[in-house]
Amino acid sequence: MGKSLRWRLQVWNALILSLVIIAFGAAFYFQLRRTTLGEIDLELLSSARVLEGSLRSLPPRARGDGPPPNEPGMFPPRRPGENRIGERPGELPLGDRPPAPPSERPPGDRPGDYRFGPPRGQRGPNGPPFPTGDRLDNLLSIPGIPLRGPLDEPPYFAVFGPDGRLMRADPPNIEIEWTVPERPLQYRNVDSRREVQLRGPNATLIVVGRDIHRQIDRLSASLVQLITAGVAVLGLGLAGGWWMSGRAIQPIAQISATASQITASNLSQRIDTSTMDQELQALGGILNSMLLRLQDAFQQQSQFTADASHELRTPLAVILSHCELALNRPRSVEDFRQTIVTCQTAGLRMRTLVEDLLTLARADAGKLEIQNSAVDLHAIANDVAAMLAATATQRQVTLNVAGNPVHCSGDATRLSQVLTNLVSNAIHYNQTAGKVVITISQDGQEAVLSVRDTGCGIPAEAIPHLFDRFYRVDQARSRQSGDSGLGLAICKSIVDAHGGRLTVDSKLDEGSTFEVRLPALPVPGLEAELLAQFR
Amino acid sequence: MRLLVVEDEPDLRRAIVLALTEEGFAVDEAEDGNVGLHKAKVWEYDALVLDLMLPKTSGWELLAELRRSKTTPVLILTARDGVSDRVRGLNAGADDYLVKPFSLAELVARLRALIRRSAGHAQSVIDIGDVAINLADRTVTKEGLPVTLTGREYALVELLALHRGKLITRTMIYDHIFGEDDDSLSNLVDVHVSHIRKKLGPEFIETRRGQGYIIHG
Repeated sequence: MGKSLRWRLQVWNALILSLVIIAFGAAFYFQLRRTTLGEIDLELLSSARVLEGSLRSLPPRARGDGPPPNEPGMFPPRRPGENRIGERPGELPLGDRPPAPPSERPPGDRPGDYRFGPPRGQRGPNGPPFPTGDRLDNLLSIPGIPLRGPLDEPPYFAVFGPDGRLMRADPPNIEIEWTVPERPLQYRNVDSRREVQLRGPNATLIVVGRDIHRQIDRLSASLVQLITAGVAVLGLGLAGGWWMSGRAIQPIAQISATASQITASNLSQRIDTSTMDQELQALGGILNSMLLRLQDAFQQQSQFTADASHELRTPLAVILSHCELALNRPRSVEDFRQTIVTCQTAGLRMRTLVEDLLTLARADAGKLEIQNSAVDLHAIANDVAAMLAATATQRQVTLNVAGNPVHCSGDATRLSQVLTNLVSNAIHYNQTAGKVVITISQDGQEAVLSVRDTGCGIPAEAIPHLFDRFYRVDQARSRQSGDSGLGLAICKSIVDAHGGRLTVDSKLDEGSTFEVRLPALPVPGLEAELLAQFR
Repeated sequence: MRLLVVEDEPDLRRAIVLALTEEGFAVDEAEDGNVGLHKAKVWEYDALVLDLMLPKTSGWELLAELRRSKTTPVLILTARDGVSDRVRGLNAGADDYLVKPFSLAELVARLRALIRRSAGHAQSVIDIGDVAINLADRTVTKEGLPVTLTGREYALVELLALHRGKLITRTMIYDHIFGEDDDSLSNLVDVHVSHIRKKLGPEFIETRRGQGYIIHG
């Protein structure tokens, strides 16, 4: 199953689905987080701006060291109804709270820690001199920041002087770490608090913060929900994917089930594509056409085997029956001689057949040995004509060779085998006092060898099968001539192996013309002759 | 018994015809389907030996055509060992088949069995009184003692015995016992019958004057 298509699809499905869910969940979570923090930040910033505005609007005072910040008594008298940051109902007013322990004061009293803002009493680059001394009292008049919803934690704030000293805090005992911000406006998370650091006028540092553990809790809860939902969606997606891939694969399984039922014995069976989808219909169609070709090949093969066995069994039957007959009872010497002659004839027929079959088998395997050399087709034609002259005379057929020497590259023995076969056919299927003409000519780059007879011709329906193995136009006549039915098939194989073509043109009762076309070679010496003429 | 051999391979046909003739059959031959069909329709053969792959009219066609008018037993010869050819032949009305190459002895044995069965005899021995005719061995015994008959005499006894109780005309005797090449002299049958009566008893064959001969069951 590990390599099954369904599993692979499922793995891809799982991978893609997980990526999509994770990306979507992450985007959603960070957006949620940004929105939540953004609201808080905006709120903190507006509070910080209010503080900054208050600091800027402080009336100028004389120089001098004021009381340290966070001292009781720094708060202005409370007005009734006034609401301040950090105050909770029932708590002491901010001003009445005890001061933060000195150890929790931010570092900054030491001169070496002084990092921002101009030195005390000097003019800063961007504003008036920082109010020092008793003028710090005016800071107390910064209005409180209104509380938000009852569920939200109240904000707190602190103002640090240029030397890092805490000048004002609300609530006063709040622990705020004093660090130097890199930018004029900076947000930071401290434990479960969100703070904004804003550089105020005169190198002061305003820090406004809020406890956001509720929001963090809510975000965590959302994250858990998102993960749960993601896992659920992934599970559903995988289940759906499994189901869908199963449905998609089902027709393939159907095809393979049908295909597996098709064996060599019932190749005529086809895959039913009528109920299939387009893509699978195409696949089924391809399989069906392949089956058709396979069936044809099988049929040809079995036809060939049957024909070959038939052709071999017949002479075998002759030999065995004559031997049995001869041995049945005492025979004369003449009877035995006759039996042996018959057996020899049958044996020779079998030898021819076996040789023909071997030639074809070699040709099929592409191992037909072609000894390539320059061959004069005209010379071959003359040889073959001389060899078959006796047969032609016996059948009262005139045999002529016409044309000029034409050379081609090929195997002289094989080509003469082809020509012998064609001419022998032309003589055998001719009429009495008929003619056979072998013509050698050149047509462009091709050497053309044609054998024309004045025989009975070949029926049009037989022509496509003429080069098939064991095909016979007329069985009776072929048997008489002792032909195996392989001659033309062998001719075609040999011509094919030479890279040529073997064609036939025939008219009933007028005769047939077999034509062999082979790639021609220039006639040796012809170029020299031509050159000589031009000179 | 008279047979027709339809086979296009001349050497094979010759071997079959010679073997069957030596076994006491009267044998006619045909080299293609057309001649074979013509002879099979015209003459009353006891059996046909038919090659399937024949020029002009194939063995199957011949068989189909023959079966329209005759029930002559047919043994088909085929050079193909494929089942389909034999099944096709048997379905077309053949009674038996042999695949080439075959043994001549088997061919003879199968033909005898075919002829016997077609005459309605399951056993290969026919008892007529104290005379027993063994169709397989082609031997005749009287009171348990072997009787020597010539080929023609035996053929006549066999013919009459296979159709015992039925009148066998002279024409039928000529048709079944003599091949187409035999000279059918009219008194030849009478000579054979008188020889048989001497060997198997005068009552063995009854003469119906002007009609023919009969062996009573």
